[in-house]
Amino acid sequence: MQFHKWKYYVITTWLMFAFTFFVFSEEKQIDSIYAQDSSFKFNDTISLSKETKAHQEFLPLYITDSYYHDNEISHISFTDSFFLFYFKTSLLLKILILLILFFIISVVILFTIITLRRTFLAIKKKKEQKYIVKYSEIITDWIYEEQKDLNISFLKKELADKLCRDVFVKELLFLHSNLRGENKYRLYKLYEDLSLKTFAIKNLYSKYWHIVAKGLREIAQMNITVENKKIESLLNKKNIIIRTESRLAWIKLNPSDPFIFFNNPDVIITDWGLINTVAILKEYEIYPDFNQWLFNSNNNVVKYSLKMIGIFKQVEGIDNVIKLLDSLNEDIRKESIITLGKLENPEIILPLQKQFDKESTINKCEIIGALLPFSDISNLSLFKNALLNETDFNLRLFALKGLINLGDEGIKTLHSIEKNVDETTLKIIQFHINKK
Amino acid sequence: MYEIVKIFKYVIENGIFVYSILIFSAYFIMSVISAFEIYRYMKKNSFIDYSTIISSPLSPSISIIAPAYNEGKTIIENIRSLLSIHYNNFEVIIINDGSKDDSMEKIITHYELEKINVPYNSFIETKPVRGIYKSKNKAYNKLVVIDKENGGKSDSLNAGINLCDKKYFAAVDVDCILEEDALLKMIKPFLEEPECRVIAAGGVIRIANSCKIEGGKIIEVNLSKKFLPRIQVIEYSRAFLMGRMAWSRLNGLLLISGAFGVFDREIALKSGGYDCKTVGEDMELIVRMRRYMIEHKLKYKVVYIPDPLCWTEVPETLKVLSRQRNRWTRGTIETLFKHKKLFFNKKYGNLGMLGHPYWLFFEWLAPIIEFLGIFYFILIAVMGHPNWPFFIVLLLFVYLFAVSFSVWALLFEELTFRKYRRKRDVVRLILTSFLEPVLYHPLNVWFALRGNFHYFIGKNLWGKMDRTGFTVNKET
Repeated sequence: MQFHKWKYYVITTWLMFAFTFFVFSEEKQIDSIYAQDSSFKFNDTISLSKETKAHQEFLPLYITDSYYHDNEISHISFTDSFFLFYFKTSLLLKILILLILFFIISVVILFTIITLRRTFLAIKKKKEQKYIVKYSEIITDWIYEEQKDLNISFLKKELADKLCRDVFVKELLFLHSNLRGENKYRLYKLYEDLSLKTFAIKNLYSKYWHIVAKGLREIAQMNITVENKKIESLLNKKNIIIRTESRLAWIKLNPSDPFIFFNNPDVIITDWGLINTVAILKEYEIYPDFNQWLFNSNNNVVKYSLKMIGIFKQVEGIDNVIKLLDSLNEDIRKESIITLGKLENPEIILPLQKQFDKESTINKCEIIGALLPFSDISNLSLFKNALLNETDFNLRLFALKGLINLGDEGIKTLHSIEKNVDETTLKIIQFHINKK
Repeated sequence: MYEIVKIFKYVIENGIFVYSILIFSAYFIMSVISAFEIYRYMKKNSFIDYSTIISSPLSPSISIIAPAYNEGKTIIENIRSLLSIHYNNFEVIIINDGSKDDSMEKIITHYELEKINVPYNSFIETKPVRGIYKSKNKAYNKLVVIDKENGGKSDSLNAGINLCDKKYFAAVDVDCILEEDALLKMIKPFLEEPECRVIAAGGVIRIANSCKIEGGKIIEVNLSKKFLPRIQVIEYSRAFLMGRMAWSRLNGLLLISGAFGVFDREIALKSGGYDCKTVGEDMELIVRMRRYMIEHKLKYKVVYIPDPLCWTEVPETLKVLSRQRNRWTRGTIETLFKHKKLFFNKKYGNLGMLGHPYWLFFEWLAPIIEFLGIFYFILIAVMGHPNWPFFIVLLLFVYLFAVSFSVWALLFEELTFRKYRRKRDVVRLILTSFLEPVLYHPLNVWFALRGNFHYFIGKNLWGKMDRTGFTVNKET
């Protein structure tokens, strides 16, 4: 099935040019028909036999002999035939012919776009590469050689070009995110001197969401606080990307009140937003007391705050988290259990033990998971009962781990119940015991 | 009698005509939706820093499950590729499905495995597990190998699901090469849906024939010099970039390629795992998971991303291609028939009103109707009644539609990921697209017809896929 390259070229070139020729052949213009017979109109019926008239819908690709004779035409071109055929056919065929033409043209255009784009991109890349070298040198000189006299106004003029500006800002932001102290400040100074923030702010007002999002990233990184009102208006936008980016920018720019968007009763927070928020909070060492939102009317806010309390180990909120074990919402109870586990404080043992029997299987697993790190002998009966009485495999496995974690007492208990467990659990018990 | 023939003729001609208009319109609408979706995706991810996921304590856990059967030729390289994925919270579970070659011995020796005793519960029934292995070498601590009796791909995947305890699992063909950031990109949709649960996600599968591999990674993307793989590049681009993106937008996606997909383990388990009785297990699982969510009134989504995340070897010979397409056809029929309840069933939303009927009419029935159309035309031609001008125009229309559709798909590829860096490769692809409707498509129709025939006579084999192995860089 392998073909030589030249065959493709021959076949496809033939196909493309055949159709182009078919349509645009200049052998004889249709005008010639007008010239010889001014009374002729495309809508006229050419003298046809009765039989042919019956098939008028799909006229053949030639004109009747009588028409040649009547009009003294010795020869008619392919193009003429095509147009005659086209204007005499049914609507359906007309549509099909037009679509065929559309496809031919679109294939030719697409082919040109695809091939030319490569060339265009190569040129752009070369240009970009040149600018990258040039601007990274300028920026580095600016940072490290304070004496160097940089012609700001000249550079400003150069950066009026979008490609230059994009490359310059990208380089500057990259270095800015990797530097600290005085160097970082000098970069900010350069950014300001070149009035680049004007462009970033302008981006915030763009009608395209991806440009707004880029603008938000830039002003957050460069600490531009002048547009707080604009950012605030974006905090609860329907577009999830703008929403996430504006929240991240807000947190960074307003460390004293980073979670203003919690005031919105319908606020929705995604895991993606959460991951990014944690990264920002850690990077800029912003640690608000999440305790204050534990009894918010919006369950999303409560769950979010619980996660944050766990991640940042805000032990001072432990009492409130324990209170949430009584929440009617199962998800909140589950999140509270996980958070209590992360806090790793012995205060949680008793409340969790009490909670165990009230919970669903999933939450029971979380409770045992939260109790696992504590080798507290008071957990023994809970683990034992779970291993013997629960039906869920994972839950029993957790209980087993819990018993093993209790040390000698746990192992003794395992030996005592060995006869009462199923084959799989027995196998696991024996493996764990032997391993110990 | 004459009247009956006339009615028959009328029904056939108009039926095929209406069908053609519908299928062309469907393709057109889907390509427009896909274009918007891809544009949105590209813009959305143009400034995303995926490393945030790697460094986050909140990144979800994922098990990569890869069944292997007689993959001795490439297994070591393939496992290395899976282990080198950029992600912080994952494990790789390889399931040796009773291979008759030396796969298991090779893995044990190379990765220094030892048999361990770990809790294995058959949440889903599988063939007996002979043993579970882990490496003594800490460098491979993310690797777990299950050695089990032969039960097929679905059975192996089910064994992997039973063993894994992560929130998500990625089902991967072991012979596939994943991009380093495949999991990062694939997990993101699961994290960013605010109001519903993402139960599965898929990405674009690319063709690795003739590509250069080093250390389990693609280091040079080459367009195959062989005709069949090259033409499949166009076919895959069209299917993934112009079809599935649209279905993802409409939340009517019925298929996530078995080569690489990420699934919510809890939902997969609750839905009963992979069905071992079908050869189209990837499609069947998605349909069942979706049904589960709808029947339990849970909000959900199945997502597709246009990133080329997984590279696979495609058939290079007609014999292997025939087997593969035959199996795909049978898999489609099995799933559509098994879930016939969905057909135009409002209760199932887009799945019932769009997805299922589309697959039934335009994926399963398309080759049959096409064959009937050709057969009918030959009949008319023999009897001397064809309307030749109309036929020529229609033929040109269909041919050019197919060509321009392929070229549009190549443009999508060009505007997005541009994996084929050499200009001549792109030109060759465009030129190949002119041959596809006349050389490759009829073959596909024939293979699909054979698939239908085999399904209805009950010949239901998986069919062997001969691997030639990737071109591994000699320097390594």
